[in-house]
Amino acid sequence: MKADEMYVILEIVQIIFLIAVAPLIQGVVKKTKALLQGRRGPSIWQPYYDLRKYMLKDEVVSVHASWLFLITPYVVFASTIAVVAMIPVFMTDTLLSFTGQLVLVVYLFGMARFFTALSGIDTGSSFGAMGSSRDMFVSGLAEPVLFVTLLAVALPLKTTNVTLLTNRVIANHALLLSPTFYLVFLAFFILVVTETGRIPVDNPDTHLELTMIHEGMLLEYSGRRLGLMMWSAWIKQTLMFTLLIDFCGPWGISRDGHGWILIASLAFLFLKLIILAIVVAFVEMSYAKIRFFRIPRLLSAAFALSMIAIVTEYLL
Amino acid sequence: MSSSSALDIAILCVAICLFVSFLVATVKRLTVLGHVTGILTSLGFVVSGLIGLFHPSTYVSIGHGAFAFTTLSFRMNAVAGFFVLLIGIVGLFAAVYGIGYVREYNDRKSASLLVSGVLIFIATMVSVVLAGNVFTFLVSWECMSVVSFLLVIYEHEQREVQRAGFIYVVMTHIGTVFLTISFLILAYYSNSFSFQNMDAIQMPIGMKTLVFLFALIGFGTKAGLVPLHIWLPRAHPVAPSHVSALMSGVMIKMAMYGFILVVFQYLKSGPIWWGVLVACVGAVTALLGILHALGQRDQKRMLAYSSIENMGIIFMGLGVSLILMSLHEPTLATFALLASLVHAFNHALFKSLLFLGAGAVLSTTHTKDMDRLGGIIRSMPWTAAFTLVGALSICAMPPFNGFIGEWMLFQSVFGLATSAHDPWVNVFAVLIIGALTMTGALVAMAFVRSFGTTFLALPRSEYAQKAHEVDVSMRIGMAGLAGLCILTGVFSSRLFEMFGHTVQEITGAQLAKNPMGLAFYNLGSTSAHLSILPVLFTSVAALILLWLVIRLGGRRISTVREETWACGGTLTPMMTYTASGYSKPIRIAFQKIIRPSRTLDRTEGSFYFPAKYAYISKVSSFAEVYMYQPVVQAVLRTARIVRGIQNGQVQSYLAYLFITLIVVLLLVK
Repeated sequence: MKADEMYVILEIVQIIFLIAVAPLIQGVVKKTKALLQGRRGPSIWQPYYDLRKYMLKDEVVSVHASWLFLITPYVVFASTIAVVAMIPVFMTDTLLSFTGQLVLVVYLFGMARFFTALSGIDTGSSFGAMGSSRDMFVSGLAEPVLFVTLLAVALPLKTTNVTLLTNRVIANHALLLSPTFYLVFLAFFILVVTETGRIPVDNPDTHLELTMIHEGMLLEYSGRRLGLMMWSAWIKQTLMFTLLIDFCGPWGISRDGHGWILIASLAFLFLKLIILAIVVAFVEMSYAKIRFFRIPRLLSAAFALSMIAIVTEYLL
Repeated sequence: MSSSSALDIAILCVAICLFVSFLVATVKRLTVLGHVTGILTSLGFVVSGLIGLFHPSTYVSIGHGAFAFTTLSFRMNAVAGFFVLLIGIVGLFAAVYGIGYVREYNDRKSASLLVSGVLIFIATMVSVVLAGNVFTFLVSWECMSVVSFLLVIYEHEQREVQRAGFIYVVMTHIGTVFLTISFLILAYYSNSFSFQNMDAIQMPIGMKTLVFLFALIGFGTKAGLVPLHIWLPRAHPVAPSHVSALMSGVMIKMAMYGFILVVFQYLKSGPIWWGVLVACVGAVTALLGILHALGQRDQKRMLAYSSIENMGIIFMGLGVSLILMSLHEPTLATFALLASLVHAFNHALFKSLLFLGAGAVLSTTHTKDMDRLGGIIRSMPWTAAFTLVGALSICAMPPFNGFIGEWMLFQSVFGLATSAHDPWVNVFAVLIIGALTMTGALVAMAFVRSFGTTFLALPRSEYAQKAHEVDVSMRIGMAGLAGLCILTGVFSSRLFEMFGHTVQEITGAQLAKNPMGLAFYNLGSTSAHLSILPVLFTSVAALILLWLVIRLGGRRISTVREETWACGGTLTPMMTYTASGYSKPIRIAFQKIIRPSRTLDRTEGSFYFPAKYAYISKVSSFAEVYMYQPVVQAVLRTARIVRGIQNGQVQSYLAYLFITLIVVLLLVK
């Protein structure tokens, strides 16, 4: 971290930007989906209205819920914020930066998932426990794939520090020409779809259906705690998009940002996020949800793609 | 303070343990003395281990036997210090916990035998670590095995326990045979039975390989490596819970100690395939271990499988370290070894904690079956909180201690993957990372399942309704371990500075000044070493900010408590998810490996009007079905054929003698 106080302020601004923009990205995805389905759909600002409503509403909590259920939203929110503080958004410097960050990123997501899964069981509702069981199962398969995919980028650049990694990708224009790059991009995209709980893996729009995974665990939440859980999920979605951008297309992110360059890179990143959101909505619209026990196949395809990427890196 | 004083303290404590355990077992009503001795000597071991960590080797011999090799010899150095410290810490909290736990046995059987057994067990483990020659090592090893066997069959009136004890004693002796042979080969080539002369022995490579393989089998049996693990999930769960904690937390680490001693110190390093083999065995062990853990309903059995999985992770680390040694990367190899040691240390803490937690639940509900528990977070809030800390640690969640070990392992395997050697080594490293991550994610599932179905939701049986909080001594035992799990997680760099001496003693290579700052290829001003504190600080700051925003901008909201929504009906305990239901996706997706089976039998009523059904669902062990059963059947079949000549008539035996005599005479001639 640079001693310059200006940088620290910018790094905090970067965190706040990501948190603030997350509901908008969700709104864009929803709007695009609605338009593709021939509906007018809610405004792209709807998630902000929802969030405000959740925060001001009274809460109903199950009588069977223990203290774990009550603290979970805060733990989830805090661990998501910790990840945000480590990911380059519009400039490569981040508030927290050290060797081996990639592992910490994966495990902080794991922490959020661990508590969400426990709170799903806590109320005694079968929907919650079912969602929890499914989510842990999918993550059991997705996590090694996520890690190997991250490694496919990290290995040739020889670092597990996300800041350095992004810097090295930016410096390395030749990467655009290598086959590795496209394989990793594809694998990463499958993972983004899995990790953000979208079709064909999970359906974020269903409530009270036997297909739900993530939403099932949130079923008993209401009011402020539900708001926090939803917001954390949106932040995670935007984070996954940002990670994809950092790893597979960081060009435009400012490295020693000051003045106009910073504003330009901010606008550029915003544009990339919106485009990704639209692409994700397109993918979601063009597939049906696959059967639960087919998910391993999808993920093993992603695993194979990143393994091929790694092997080509070494052998080419 | 020097290491000779550390050795003196340790030997004194071992002697006290043995003497007091004899007193407690023979004189009535001395159980309290046993408890006090357990706590004090464990403290002694902690002190001795801490001193030993920072000092070079010292040897002491006591009592020369009739033969030259039967001398009892002990030594202390940084390696032994590490393991003595481990035994001391877990022993201390297990002893405290034992005060309350053995009370449960008071009306049924002699608690004093159990107390004295635990004392001997701790003493023999320390003596294994302190052993300074082959004789002392093997004798202590054997004593440790026998004492732990006796503790396993403490509740010998149950058939399940007898069977577990039998399999344990057989497997452990098979292991000891291999160990004895490998130590004898080492002694032959070093011309001495003392460990002093064994460092980096000159041996032909064939012999080296033989010693390596035998050590892997021998110590692998004790460590529970697949496919030699079959005794572990049987023996660990049936022992009294604080003994399970000692066995899973500490005893299997003795195997790690022995393996490090023989392979890293005496053989130094070998061809690259040694490391590849160890890492592969570790990866298979870790994955199979955790998949089987997900198939269990018995909580302690689940924990035992999870111990197998953790030993797998530790051996993965050892394997990676061996590979790096063969590739002449001493610094990285030392780091990988440090990672294994740190993970072993952490595992000792959180696995003991989890076993103590399971024991607390068992002692008040009298069941280990997770499907029958549930909802006891309300009746046992302290136990629930401590178990949660253990679960978070074992799932490697930051900032708990399990994370640090796994993080270091990742970094060292990453170092191997980026090292410029053979591309196949790099690809292998990536696969190891894949196995490590998959294990990690499945561990999280296993422990969400075990914690969730035991402590959360509604009580599913009258066992769970009977639950009440355990007494103070048991809570203190768990609290101490839980506190250490958090402390060693947050202030992890202190830990590495302490264990740095241990790994340097083993590999001889110098570790970087701050091992956490050992930044692989990570130059530039932005790189600082991993520290959990800023991450914690950021999270807490975010929460405080959020709280302020809500306080200032929002209105006070009210919280209403209502019944859980159950599709319009009333929620009954029957509706809540069981542990079996939770792991159903795993059983389906991995059915080739864990081979689930279920049977539905009508036990009462007629065919058309069944009154009662018995539903049995179980998973079978991969190794048992594919490896042990064929061998056992082959042996039985051969025995059946051979049985033909045993007809019980004296005449035919005389005929056999006569034929044998003729054959021998012909051969001699």
